[in-house]
Amino acid sequence: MARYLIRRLMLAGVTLLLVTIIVFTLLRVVVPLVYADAADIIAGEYGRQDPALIAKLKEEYGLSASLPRQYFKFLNELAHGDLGRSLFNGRPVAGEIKDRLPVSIELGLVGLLSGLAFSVPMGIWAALRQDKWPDYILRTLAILLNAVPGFWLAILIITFGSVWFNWAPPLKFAYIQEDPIAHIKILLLPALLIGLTPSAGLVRLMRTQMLEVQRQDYIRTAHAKGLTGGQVVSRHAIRNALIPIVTVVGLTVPSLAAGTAIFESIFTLPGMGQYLVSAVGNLDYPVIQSTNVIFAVLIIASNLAVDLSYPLIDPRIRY
Amino acid sequence: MESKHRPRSIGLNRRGLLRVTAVGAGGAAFLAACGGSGDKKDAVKDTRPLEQKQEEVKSFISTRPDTAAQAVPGGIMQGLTTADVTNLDPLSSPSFTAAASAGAWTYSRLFNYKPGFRDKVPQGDVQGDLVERFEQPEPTRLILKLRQNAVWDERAPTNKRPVDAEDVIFSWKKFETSNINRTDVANKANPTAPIESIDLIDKNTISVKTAYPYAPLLGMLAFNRYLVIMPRESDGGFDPRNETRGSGAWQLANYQRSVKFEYRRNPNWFGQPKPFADGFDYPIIPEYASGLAQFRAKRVWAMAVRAEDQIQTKRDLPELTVLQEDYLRSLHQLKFGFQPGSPFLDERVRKAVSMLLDRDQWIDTFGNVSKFQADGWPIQSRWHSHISSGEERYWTDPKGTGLGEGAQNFKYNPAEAKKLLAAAGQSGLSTDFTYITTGQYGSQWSNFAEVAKGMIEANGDFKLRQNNPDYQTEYLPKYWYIPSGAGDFKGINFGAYTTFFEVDGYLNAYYHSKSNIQQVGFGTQGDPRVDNLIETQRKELDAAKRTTIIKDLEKYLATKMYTVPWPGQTAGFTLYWPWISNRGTHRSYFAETAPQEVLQTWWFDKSKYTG
Repeated sequence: MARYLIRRLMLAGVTLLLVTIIVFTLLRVVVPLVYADAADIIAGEYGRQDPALIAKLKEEYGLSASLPRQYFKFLNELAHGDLGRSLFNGRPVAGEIKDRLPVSIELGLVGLLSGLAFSVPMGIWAALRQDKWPDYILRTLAILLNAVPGFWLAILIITFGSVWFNWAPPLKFAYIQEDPIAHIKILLLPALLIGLTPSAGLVRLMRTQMLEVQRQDYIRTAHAKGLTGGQVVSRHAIRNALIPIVTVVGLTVPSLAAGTAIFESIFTLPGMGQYLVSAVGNLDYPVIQSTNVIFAVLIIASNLAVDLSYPLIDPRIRY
Repeated sequence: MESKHRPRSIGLNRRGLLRVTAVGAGGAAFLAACGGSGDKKDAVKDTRPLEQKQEEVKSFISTRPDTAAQAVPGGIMQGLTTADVTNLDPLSSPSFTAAASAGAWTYSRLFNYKPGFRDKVPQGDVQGDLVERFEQPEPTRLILKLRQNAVWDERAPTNKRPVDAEDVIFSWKKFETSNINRTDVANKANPTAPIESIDLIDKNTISVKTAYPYAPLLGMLAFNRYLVIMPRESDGGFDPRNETRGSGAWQLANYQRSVKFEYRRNPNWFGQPKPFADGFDYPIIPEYASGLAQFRAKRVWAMAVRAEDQIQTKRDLPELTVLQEDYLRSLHQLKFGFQPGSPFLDERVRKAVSMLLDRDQWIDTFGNVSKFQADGWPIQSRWHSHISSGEERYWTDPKGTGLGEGAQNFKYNPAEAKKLLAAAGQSGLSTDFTYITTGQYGSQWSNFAEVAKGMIEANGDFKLRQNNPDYQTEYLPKYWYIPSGAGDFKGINFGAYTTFFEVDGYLNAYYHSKSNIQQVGFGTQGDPRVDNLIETQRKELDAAKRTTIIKDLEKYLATKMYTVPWPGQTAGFTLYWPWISNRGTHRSYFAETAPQEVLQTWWFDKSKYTG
């Protein structure tokens, strides 16, 4: 296990390095080729595209050095924990991320957990009631949820909530350490909505896996040795059905991270998504590069956690 | 007008409960997709006589009462804003947003605009802000004496230091070297701009030297997008991109990027005992539906409810107060490309475009005029000439006789347009129609452009190719700023307007051949008569004579149609909760400059608060 962990951590390092190269290349080579670079954007605001102004801006923002040199500078600073400063307002990126990352992680995590809390029992229930009305209802609901984008549902809830009940979600964000109740009130609805869309797929997957497992010989054996239906499901069926679920959950993390941006905008939450979106609009290189690295770390960590959880779910799996 | 039927709480009311039960999620989705709810059916069924509706409307339209004498200090006003700023430095940010937001709230200027009071519409007259008194010893020189009770923010590094003339000089130098609008103002940056220098006379006195007698000089010095006065400490003592240390009525107590602005009253402001309110909170809510929901739930006390939602919102929430706003002074334009060989070099083609715009239909569509009228709301509308219909001093109504022969070019007349195009040999003209679709000019911009395009094409004489360039890298340099002055693009550009402090700024930027930004361009030579009229009016210090010159120019532009002005506008309505007291009593010349001219007079009337 320790060797596996070390190997994975080394691989994670390589993956991160590749991420920095890909992000830097896309942002600093491909985007300027097909669109513009940050200096063009700022010069455009000034209404000019003259080379002298662009050169001056590049000098001012540290963009005039060769690209490899800029890349290694970025890497060196990253290695020293310095994520740089926004080109547009000079704020340290690390400071912004420190404030915003916990909000996004919490939002994504609560969304994921609420999605799991809904989808796993519902998937099991649908499988146990195969081709009966709970199964039909849950399958229909799952398809409906899959078809409805979460942000659209959020806007519907807010619109009709306000028109019919003069209700709106809380407006003022409070950090958990400041006011836990207010914090829960503001985060709960967006988190639940974030979890809703992936939960639809998970209900269907859990149902399929349970149906599959229930046809296995060891389940028949468990029944034959006199275990009750509940005991068979809880001791033998669920654990074996969970492995694909855990894998899919690991794969869901990136989309959750990306999907929080629109919810942060709708519910005015100070998270990473909004920060990244506004930075992309301005081609604010340090912010985009650093937030991508942070997201990559999160995704690598979540995948590692998923892999490490397999032996806990199924003891036959060993590293 | 207090209704017994108003839902009093956030909890379920009977009607709401019935609806939830009856409709369900699918029905809700359908209703949303159809853009309506049952309430709108109720609106259609309102068969009361118009007079009765008008009487009812009169009861809730604000009469702009002055309640300052009853003002109780305190309370945090709750507003919203839809957009963030790039950074907070009003003098060096490449975007106007810094000057239009935090800059306008926290930094003083030399002058500011005198608000209108109750029925009096503001005309752009100025009053001293940091300036206590001034004299004009000669037409090209102003001597300004600064007030001595103005101090900077008590927070470090300014530490409540008195504002002095060196701060003004510091700000001017920063402005003339780095401000995006310096070419409008600083002669050093643009030889046609008026201000040559601002110099120190003594600790509290400065002189302003102009290159020529410039009629609207005081208005220029009052504009928040030009010379705001920043402390010398902003050069290294603090980071003005992320913090403010002003001397204005408000302090920026908390700013969280893409989340919120929180302004608090400046306890050391020279205008004590104002501001009455302790502060204003502005969460950033870009999504309209979210903002409207927060407004309805009373968490936001005022917002720009869209015209099409106002009647229903008022009906749902009868205790809301309605204020009839002034006409806006902005004026968007349809601009033409004037490359060699362009069909728009022929004025008959330009006139035809103008005649194909059904201005009343346009105003009705976007101003919701018919529905307001049917419900008894006193909606008013105006057509724009080449001067915005919000410019009360200078605008001439194209429907009247004041524009002379040029007035006919504003009338919807497809038959005449067809004749003009045929005479110009341009029937069936195929060309570009350019506009942006990426939201920089608001979510409705594409709708405006598409309706204009549809109107121009409806007669069958134009075939317009839609062209939607990238805003920053293509639209701004090629279609917005036109350094060559040649209108160096093809076809029609459905262009937006930037904010100018006074009609001179607009006329010069758009129509003078030597203006180096934003002009529509009509050939590299320009029109000598237009240039002459613009130059004459800006140097004419007699207000009446200047008005006559501007009106002459307006008439001439109507005959030439170098641009086609936006069709027109309504004097729309604003909805707000009644506990914002004194709102509308003082009328701002600019919405942007209102924070230090008008908002300090608003107060929170707790006795009316039901939130």
